[in-house]
Amino acid sequence: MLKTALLPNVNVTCITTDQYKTNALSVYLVRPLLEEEAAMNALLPQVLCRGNVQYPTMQAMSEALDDLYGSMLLGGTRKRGEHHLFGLGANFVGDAFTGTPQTVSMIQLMAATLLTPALQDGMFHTAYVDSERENLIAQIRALKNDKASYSSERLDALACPHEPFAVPNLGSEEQASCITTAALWQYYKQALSTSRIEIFYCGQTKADVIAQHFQDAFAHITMGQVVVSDSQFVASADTTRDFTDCEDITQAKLGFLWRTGVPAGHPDFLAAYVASVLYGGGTTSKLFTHVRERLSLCYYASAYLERHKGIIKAQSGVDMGNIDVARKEMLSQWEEIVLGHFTDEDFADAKSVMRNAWRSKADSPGGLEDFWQGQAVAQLCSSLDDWSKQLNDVTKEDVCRVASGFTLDATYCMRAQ
Amino acid sequence: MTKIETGTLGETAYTTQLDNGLTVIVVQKPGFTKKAGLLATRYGSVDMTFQSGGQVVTTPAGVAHFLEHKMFDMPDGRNVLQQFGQLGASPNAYTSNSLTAYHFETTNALTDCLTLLLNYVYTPFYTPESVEKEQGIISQELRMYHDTPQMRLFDELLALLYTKHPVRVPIGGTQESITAITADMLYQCYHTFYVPSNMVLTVVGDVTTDEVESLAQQYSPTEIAPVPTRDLAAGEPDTAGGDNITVAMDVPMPLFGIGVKLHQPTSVNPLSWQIQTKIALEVLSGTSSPLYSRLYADGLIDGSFGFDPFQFTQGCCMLFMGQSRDPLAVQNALFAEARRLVAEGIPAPLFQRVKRACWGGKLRSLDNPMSIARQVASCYLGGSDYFTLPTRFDEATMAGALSILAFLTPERTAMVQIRQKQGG
Repeated sequence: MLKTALLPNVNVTCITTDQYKTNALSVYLVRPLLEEEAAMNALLPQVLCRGNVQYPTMQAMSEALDDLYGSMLLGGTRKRGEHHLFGLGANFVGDAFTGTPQTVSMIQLMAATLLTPALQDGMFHTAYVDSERENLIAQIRALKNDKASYSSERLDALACPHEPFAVPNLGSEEQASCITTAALWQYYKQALSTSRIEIFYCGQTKADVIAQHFQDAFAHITMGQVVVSDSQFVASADTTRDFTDCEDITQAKLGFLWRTGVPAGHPDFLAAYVASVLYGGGTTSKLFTHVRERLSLCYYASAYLERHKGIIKAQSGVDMGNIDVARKEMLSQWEEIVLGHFTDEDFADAKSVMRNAWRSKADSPGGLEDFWQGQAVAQLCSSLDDWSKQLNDVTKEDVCRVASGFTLDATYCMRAQ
Repeated sequence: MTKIETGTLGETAYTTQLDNGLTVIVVQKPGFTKKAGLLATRYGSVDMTFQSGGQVVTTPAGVAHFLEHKMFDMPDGRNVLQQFGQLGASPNAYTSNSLTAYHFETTNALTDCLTLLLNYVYTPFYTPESVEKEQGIISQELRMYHDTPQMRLFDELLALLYTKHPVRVPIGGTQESITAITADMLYQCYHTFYVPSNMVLTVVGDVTTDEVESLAQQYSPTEIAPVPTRDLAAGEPDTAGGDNITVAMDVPMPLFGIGVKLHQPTSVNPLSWQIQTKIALEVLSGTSSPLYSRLYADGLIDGSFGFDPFQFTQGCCMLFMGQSRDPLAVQNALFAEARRLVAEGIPAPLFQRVKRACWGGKLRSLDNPMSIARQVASCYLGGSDYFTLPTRFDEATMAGALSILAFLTPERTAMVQIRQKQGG
């Protein structure tokens, strides 16, 4: 892995390898997660993907991508803790398999799409903004279609009402519906000159070639004062709050949110990670073996650590009639972790699950992109290999000590009327 | 093992058939740390009626899926999932209309994982108690699907499109059908369909062929049993079973699905057919097609619009799905565009561009060992050799694509809409 600063606030992370047929490339702007910006961050990349000066229509863009052997160029918005990222990501077949300079063409297409959008009267095409705004609103409404992820979003909103974390990744329908072409154009120019930009590439091409092409592309951007984004860190909860929503569903959803007190990059981070895996990460976890397998209380039950925000969330889908018993059981399984009621074997299993997941992540261009962008956002530089090595030193005592500092902030239940 | 010619796919693959009939396919991926193993049987949700011991057997809906859940139980009480977990591997399984597959991904324990996989899949163990317990878990799973609009859409669409073919029955069965499933029934289906000659083992990663072959030999049954036969499509008409229904659910954004029944000539290779259908669909309504741009600009479709050829045992169709304020307008536009293309022909540059893009898409899917294992196994069980892909692409012609677009007529088409429940 090679990380280079192209400009004071433009960084490129490159992994040069000939292992994959697919190359991954992404350019993301890092913003603070804010209610007033979130919907614009979600809308902008979609508007940009509608056309640039060279390929001004969607059809022209799609044809160009088809010519590049069906490359994918997608706009995206990602919430990582309280950092909000938006930008473009591409997947394409490497030069060696097509005999054509795919990588350079893709960098040029991506840079052109980000920096030289198709214009009408000096700003975005109103028709593009209008239709993508409608699409965004539709997408925000459609979030409710998937009850598992919707319940997760509701838990964030209810548990963190006074923190930016409550802001959903796509923003709110209210914010989205009042975005005008002029306001979006204004914001676009402001965001380009005031955001840290993180570029990632994984493929056969050498890092200096990638850097040079992006350097050329970004040469004419004038950078202003960069807006710093950071996560608001809530170390612990004073009391546990219980929330319930009624929806038209046949399977209830349960959710729990703990404050870990461990921020990203803290020395206790891996111990907190192990605790989350022991509790609900995979088939050897407490939630899987007890709540699902032994007691048949649910179809799924799992937990994960949101490392940028320092929280652990557990979620489960249960029968309406089992809500109380499942909730009690899920919480008592957590107590088992805190009390150290897990065997050496459980402990080794959890570590093994983690190492395997990391090795797998390091084995795909998309997985590497996700990991390194996560590190870049938090300005961390340890690799997955570093994590693996540090994991050796995490003891059962570390896990119990760290887990006993977690506080249950909120419980959530989505049920039928 | 015999080396397989993979042409411009640039893969290194080997295959062999063991004496017991089990086909083993190994795809070597040097430098990859991830290794995937997948053992699959040609037994899916559609296999509800079949010949066994000279008799016709009919089973309730959802047995294949139920069996998949119960495969993880072992007579000595050990927990297979936990054992995989201890090896740091991620195991899973899935049941489709046409097959059931058990798989794992590992980075450092191939021998142990492969041994465990063969071991548990070839050790059936069911008791009335464990079956009863599983009914609770599966009942939850079915409820979850019932609340998931995309799953409902898929199930309702196939139920509307087909009148006889068992593809019209949901993969997991129904709350009622699963209560009729017994341990004896599971044994009978297991012994009919989990015979090595009806199965394929695929291993992908930085592995040696000798090790895979010798483990497969050591841990698969020695008995040779016949491949089960069944006639699923009997009496199924060419036309759609119905034309349009609406299901009310709690969905703020209405969804639609359009299914078009295809007729695949038996002389055509299934993989060729799949490629031809995919190209035809891209020409018709892919992102670079004139129709897509028009529908998108008119606000009739959004980025969620998609389509796929759908092949299953003894049948195939094409499916379009998405969100729209006016699904009927989308359907009519698809009919009109298909008619236009059939009458006027496909512009040669469009066809070539789409073909190249489809080929690139296939190449991009070859970086994930599990995805390769799935594609290779599903192709094999469907009756074709995945590694002939370059040839199948060469064979794809404009005339072939047009012949598929000609199926897009109202008689062969059904639509399901999922709309917001009143007062919901």
